[in-house]
Amino acid sequence: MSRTAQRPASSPERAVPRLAPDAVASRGPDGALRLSAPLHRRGLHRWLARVARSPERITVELDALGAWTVEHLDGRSLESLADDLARQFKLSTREARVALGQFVQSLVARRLVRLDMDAA
Amino acid sequence: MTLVTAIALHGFAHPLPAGWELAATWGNWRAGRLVLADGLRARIHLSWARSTRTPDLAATLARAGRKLARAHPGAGMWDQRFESDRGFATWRAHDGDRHVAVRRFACGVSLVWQQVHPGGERELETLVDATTAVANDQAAPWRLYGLDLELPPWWRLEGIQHVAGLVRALWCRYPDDRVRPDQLLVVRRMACAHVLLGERTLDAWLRAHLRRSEVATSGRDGVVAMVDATAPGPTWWRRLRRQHDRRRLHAWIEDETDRLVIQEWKGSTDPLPCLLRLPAAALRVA
Repeated sequence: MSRTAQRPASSPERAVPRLAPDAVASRGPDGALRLSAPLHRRGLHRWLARVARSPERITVELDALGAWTVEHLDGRSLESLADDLARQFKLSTREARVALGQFVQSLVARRLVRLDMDAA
Repeated sequence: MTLVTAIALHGFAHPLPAGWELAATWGNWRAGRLVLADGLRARIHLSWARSTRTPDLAATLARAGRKLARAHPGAGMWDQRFESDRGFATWRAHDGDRHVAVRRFACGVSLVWQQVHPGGERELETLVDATTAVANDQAAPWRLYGLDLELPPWWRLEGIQHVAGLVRALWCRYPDDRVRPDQLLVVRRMACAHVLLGERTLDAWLRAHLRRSEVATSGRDGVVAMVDATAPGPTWWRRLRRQHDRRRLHAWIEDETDRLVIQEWKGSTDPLPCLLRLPAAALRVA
């Protein structure tokens, strides 16, 4: 009988969001911050994308709040980032946490950001 | 218990103890319910109903108590008492006492409080005492999710959206309880006003959001930007009858919280005045 070691459940608020290793942040001619990362396609999907000449990278353009958040992904936790966001933009703590959570979730879904749960 | 703020909606104003907030609300002017929470813990369920009939306080109190007992098996009624327009009951369970209260206001509103979490009777009595209500034909305060307005009689809240950084609420006016509304009001309160405006002034931002078909005149009253916009009716029938769509927009910035508030009125009769209630010191000229 094997026994697996149970890891303590880490709190998502203490998770550290980081830019994905292959994500690139750049400023456009209008000054807007853009995040892009290569799309990892396989098999038929890859062939179809090549035939349809779909872009090979996913790119998102960020507004002022998004740009501020991405520029501050420097190893601090979600909780600390939310507190700073609330202070910077005069939001309530709850508003900042909810908005930041949704924003980071959407970037994680596009593989532009990864959440480092081990740091929690 | 320190009562610091109050919420006001659907014709009644209810005090809020420090640290509590309005967690959820359902219903309309006639009947509905809401939940008051302390952080992530629900504390009180409050329901309201308007009726011309005098409610049976004892029956209402017993019904509310039974609902509470269903949610907390093993709870039994311990005590109940009635005063002129209100009644209180205590339901005892293994984890503590929960209290239920009912109050009938002279204007026809009945409110029922249920303590979801064990609490003191005195605490609930304080809330019941401090609650006020207005009749159907009276002006009503609206104070929820950061909005703070006083609307003339017959304005009824039809919907509210509350997400991080945005509160948007829609009211319709049903004069003398008519079925069809004759005016509507949308109030939006948005966070990060300085980000939204960018380099533009408030007047320019407001004008930029007008529809292409609208003819507008804009003005300024201190810190409040105002635009009167008129557009041809959306259908040929309305255009043939020379009926226009009228909108009046007021916008201002709450500097302390950096919120941009836009009041949009639509109708054909007298427009609503600016509903700004904040002291001028809290506002910023943009």
